[in-house]
Amino acid sequence: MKYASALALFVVCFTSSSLHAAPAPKGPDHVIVPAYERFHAAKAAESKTGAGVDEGGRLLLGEMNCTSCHAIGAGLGDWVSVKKAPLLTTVGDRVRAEWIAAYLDNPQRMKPGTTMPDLFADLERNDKRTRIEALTHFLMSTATEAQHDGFFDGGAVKRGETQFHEVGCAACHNSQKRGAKPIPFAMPLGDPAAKYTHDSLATFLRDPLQVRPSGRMPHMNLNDQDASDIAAYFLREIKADPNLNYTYYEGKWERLPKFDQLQPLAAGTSAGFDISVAKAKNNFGLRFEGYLHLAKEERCVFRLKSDDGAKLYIDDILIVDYDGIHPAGEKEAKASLKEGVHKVVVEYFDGGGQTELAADVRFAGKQAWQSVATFLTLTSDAKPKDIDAGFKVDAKLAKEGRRIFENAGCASCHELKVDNVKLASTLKAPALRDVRPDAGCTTLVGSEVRGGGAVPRYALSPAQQKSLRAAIEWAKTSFDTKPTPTTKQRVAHTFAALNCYACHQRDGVGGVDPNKLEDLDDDGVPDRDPTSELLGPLFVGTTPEMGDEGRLPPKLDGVGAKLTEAYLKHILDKGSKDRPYVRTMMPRFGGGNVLPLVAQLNELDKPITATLAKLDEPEQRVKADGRLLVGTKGFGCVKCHMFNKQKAEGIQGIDLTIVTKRVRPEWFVKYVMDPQSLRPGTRMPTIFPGGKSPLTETLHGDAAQQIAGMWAFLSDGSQAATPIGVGGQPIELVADKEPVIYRGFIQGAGVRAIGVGYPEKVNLAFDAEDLRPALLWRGSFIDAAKHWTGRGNGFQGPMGDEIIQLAPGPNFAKLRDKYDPWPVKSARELGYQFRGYTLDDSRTPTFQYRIDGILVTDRFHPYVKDQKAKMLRSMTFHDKGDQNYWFRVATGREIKPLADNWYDVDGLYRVRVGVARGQTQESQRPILRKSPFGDELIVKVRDAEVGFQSFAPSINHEFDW
Amino acid sequence: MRYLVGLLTLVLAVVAVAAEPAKSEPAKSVRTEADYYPLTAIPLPKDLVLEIGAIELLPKDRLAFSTRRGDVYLVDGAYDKQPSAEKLKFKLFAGGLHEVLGLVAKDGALYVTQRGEMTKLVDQNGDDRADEFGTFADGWGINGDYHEYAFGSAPDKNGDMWVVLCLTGSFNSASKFRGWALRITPEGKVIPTTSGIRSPGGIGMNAAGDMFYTDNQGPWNGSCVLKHLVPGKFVGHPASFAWYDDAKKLGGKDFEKVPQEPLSGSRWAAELKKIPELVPPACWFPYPKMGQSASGIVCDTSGGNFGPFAEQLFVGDQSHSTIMRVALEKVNGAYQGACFPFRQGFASGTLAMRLDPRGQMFVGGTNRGWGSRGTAPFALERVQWTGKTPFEVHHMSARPDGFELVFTQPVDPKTAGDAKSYFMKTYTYIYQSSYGSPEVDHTEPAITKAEVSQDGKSVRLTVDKLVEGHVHELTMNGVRNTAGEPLLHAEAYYTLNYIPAK
Repeated sequence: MKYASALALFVVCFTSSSLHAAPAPKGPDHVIVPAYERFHAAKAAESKTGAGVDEGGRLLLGEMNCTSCHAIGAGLGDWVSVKKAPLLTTVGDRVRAEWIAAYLDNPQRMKPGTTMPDLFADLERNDKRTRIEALTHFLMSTATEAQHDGFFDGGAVKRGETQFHEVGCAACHNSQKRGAKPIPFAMPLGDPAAKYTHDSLATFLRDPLQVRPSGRMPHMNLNDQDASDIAAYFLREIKADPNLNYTYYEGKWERLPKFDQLQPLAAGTSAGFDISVAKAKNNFGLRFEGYLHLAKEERCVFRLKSDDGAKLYIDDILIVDYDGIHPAGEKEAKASLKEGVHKVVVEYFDGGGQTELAADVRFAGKQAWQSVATFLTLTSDAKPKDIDAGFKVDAKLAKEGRRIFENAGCASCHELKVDNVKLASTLKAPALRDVRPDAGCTTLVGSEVRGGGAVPRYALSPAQQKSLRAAIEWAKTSFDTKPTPTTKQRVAHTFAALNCYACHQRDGVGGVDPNKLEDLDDDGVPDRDPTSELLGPLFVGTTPEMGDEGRLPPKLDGVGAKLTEAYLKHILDKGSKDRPYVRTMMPRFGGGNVLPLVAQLNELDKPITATLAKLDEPEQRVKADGRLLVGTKGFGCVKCHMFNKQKAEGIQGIDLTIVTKRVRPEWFVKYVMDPQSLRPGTRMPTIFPGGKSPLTETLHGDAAQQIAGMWAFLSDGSQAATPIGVGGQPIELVADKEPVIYRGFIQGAGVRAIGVGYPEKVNLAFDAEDLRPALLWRGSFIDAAKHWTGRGNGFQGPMGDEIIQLAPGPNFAKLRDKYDPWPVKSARELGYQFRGYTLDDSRTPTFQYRIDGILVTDRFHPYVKDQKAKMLRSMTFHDKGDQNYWFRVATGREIKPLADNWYDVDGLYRVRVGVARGQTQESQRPILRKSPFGDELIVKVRDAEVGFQSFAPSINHEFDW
Repeated sequence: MRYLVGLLTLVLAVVAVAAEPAKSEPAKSVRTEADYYPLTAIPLPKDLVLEIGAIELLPKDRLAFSTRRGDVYLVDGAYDKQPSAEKLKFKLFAGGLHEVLGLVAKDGALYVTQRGEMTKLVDQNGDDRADEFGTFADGWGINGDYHEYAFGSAPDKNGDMWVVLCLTGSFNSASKFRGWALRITPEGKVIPTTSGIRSPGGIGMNAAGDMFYTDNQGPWNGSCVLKHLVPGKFVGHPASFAWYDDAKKLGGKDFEKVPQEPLSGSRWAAELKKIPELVPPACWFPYPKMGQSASGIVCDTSGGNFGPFAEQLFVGDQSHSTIMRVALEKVNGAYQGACFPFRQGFASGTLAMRLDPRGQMFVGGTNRGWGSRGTAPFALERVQWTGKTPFEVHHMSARPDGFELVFTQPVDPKTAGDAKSYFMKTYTYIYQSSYGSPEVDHTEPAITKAEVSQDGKSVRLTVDKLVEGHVHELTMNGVRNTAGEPLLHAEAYYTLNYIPAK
């Protein structure tokens, strides 16, 4: 009780009256290290002798940072992880002065569960007060800029609440909702509103590793919006003063009206860009006006987020124009602003449906977006309120505070740099093995006072004291033998320290396992894991029909044998969100804290014995088969797995295009062959019942080869061609007995493309703009769904495989001689004319076009040879021309002559040209030449002097691929 | 995101409209549109998707229609009194075309307007399947944007078929002649004809053979609108100015000078005075009272077989699944006139219409990509006149100091002669580069006199005072015919570009 009065005295020092004065949060009265409380506390509490509780004690030694003062001694360091305390170099920028003082006075009171000790617990009240005041001045002297209460939009609190409870925060911190069941091993949060401003909390949440490199509070990969929303959720009670004038209108608009020409229905002031001042739910307009104060010239990016239209003006100049009816979205624009006061106007209207408005700014050199409102005032002569305005750093006190920081032990744990130099601790503490386990830090009461300094007082539960004493004893006795921890122990220790166990189970420890049964009370009846019962409800999935698999983070048994080393490293270092159905994200823990796990897990987890089958077909063919198998005409993997970020029809399983990057091939082979063998209870179906494939036509109907085929296809990652069935229901056009034609926007064949699917399952896309065959491919013709659903924007590529792209630009040109370069103009620009096509009795099209005076008929005949469909193109010329005309057979990076007049183009396809009937004369042989764009194969088809006479009036053009 | 809510409001509005007469009139005397113009569904084959883009009449009671999926079908049995799925025959004449929104039978061939070209389809061997797909004209551009539609007309008196080309999106013309109306001569020559188009929904001629098209609310179009395509002129959206050089090259003397760019934020009346090439809108369809997506146009040339509205225009609205009626007159050499509600309740979004000389109107609908009140994804229906004359305003003509209303039936002199039976307000739209416009510059002129003619068929309204350039919205809730019945549609919207001198 005596400390409460000391605090009251102290607070008087501050002049600011409207500061958020939070009641002290409720919580445990001792240090919380989640894994200790979950796995060790009960055991230690029950232990009479303290034997066997040293493991928990070692966890505490690390998590409480004991070894920063008390050297553990060489050789034993591997047993205790060191948790680096928060960096305090710019703590004044993120924490309220008032909070620092209150926290130093009684850490457990302001932040229940904290590992921060009460440094001055044994000092006389006035002495303690003086020291805390000096320390506060010193810590606040680190501030580089003023802090303001931030503003957030009306929906932020609700969104933040959802995010907090779904992305994984609650796994360590428990649910913050009213009536949530207390979890004794959850990390309490204290009252963030007493400590942070909205902006400083959002900045912290976006990247906690910046100031807490230990990774105990991991980086959740939150985007700006999420971090800001979660901060808003915690600071929801703070009421800001009005700082904007608004005028309010009603009407039905499609664009922002000219508000100055309309009569406002209401006017007033609001705190931030608060659209809830509107009287109507929909069809209203608001104009906000305030004054922006800049202490220096700033380069800024302004951002409007709105639904519907909004505009932002600065000094009456339109900066961001996001007008019109649109769903919630955002638009940015840059502006350079001079030091001083600027008029800011934000106009907004809603045209029905959802409403949203936020105006944010990001200053050059900063990462964080802040609400523009943070810097606005009602009038140009007011100044935005600095929350620490009532606190003036006293240089003398700050200097004294720095001395205390260095000698009282603060600097032993906390890094704080002044002028880029880390302050060194002058505190000397005995080595761990010399510590008296029955006195000092580890006891709750009666610490000894030594040498005028104070012993920090940790709030420890009796169990924690017992564990720590056991660990200290262990350190003493182990000093000479220097045992080394096993890899398994190291992994378990890291999992405990970083609380991986909150989400994941490994070796039967931790995680949430609703099926885990253990006889806890020794009555012979297995019990459910009570901790799982508590944690279970904290994990949320997007797909209820997936059951627990769809919401719980995975078990990590065997993970070292499942994930590739690179991917495991990637996940630990950068986090991941690979399971679209699990809302919880894998956070990033900061490389140094976790990367040793990669090698350790690798070493521990027994490799899976399986290998990818060898395939005898060419790679291109194998990938086409793999694609078929993955698609809905094969095993339909894409029905339940996302593909290249495109949603599946049913549940959204892990994106198939990351699979080969993620898992080891041997794991893939075994898993696809028998999913239950590796993930018991998974919903992934067995596609090879009894090891046999139901699809007998593909890759010899052999399960192992089919798995290898799918792996080969998926190895293309995001470059993999889209399998059938991805992106909604396909509308496949099938050439059954006669060719089928599809005119429209075909990817690779232009806007006037004419697709022809032939019954031989070979397909052509003819580019009627450039009068050329643009694409040939095998298999399925085309999926018309893109153009036949919705408004049908964009280009559709072939549905089949083995696509070859033929020479771009017109096939025919007037050239003086064989050295004359091929024209770069399009056929239309050259004046060539497409004349359409005719269908013969087989409904096969013959294209017609005019090259100047020459009418060309151009027909494509697929034929099958050696069980492969090929394409023969025959062209006939109806002469009215009077020039030399050349035909371009092929272009490529490298064209190579082959036997029998064939040419190889870039190793992708082979091409041949010749007269339709009779022997090809020497003069009709194609010429291979270099062009600025690569190799070019051309042949003269008409001579200026003799017309087509000495040449053939028709030629054949063959393609094989 | 206003669409969902917007749709809901629409549905409510429909209910409200339907419920209104029941409140004010005893049930027995309530007349509905269906009493005069019933709809007959023509069942489409269940396994086909036939989003009708254009309809054409063929000899021997045969119908042809084209679809957005690029097919052309021949239909037998569409004229049957009760068309039945069993008796109807659908024959695929041609397939694989690119969104066909124009279909004309001429010289034994079918001319189809695809997005990128006009194509002449010929069936050489008489098996009802086209075997020649000749490119008839392709002198315009496309670039892959879904907005770049092309609508084709029937031949005009010179035999030219017209094509109106939608812009690239709402604001730009990224491909040649986007935002233009072109004429295609019988030889297939392309003649650039009128600039200023935004997003057409249909094209058709009036009885005099003048060509009109519908344009839709968006940039430079405050609301949906019917516009007259005058060769050499400009109808309002300046993105089309990009192609004056090309237009000039094709022999367009009228296109030697690019018109002055309209001033955004101005009014049509003001810009008409400044820009000589600008043609005033023939008739605004106030948004969303009349519709939200104006589409096909047909003229009643059936000589009375379709009822009392001979030579008037019927214009579809895709979004409201309606057909509106337009009666135009010429003032100062330019068309202007009034639109009236005509028929609602089509099954899908009304897009293409065709009226045969016997007075049967075929109506094709689709709502793919753009929602409609009619919930069917696509439909083919027939509208016929029962022979009973509805009590309607036949047409509305401007006078120097008011309007003359001509009715389809003699009016009750007491109610129709009472100025209080009428209410008028006027407004216009901002002529601007941004999307659409609210109604602006409202006035509420007083109707000072309503004089009924001797024969009781017309009423002369004196209005204090008319506003040039404004839509004059007239409601006639008090007017009765001699049987005491109210008007079937008591609203009229007259686009008064010019006040006649006499």
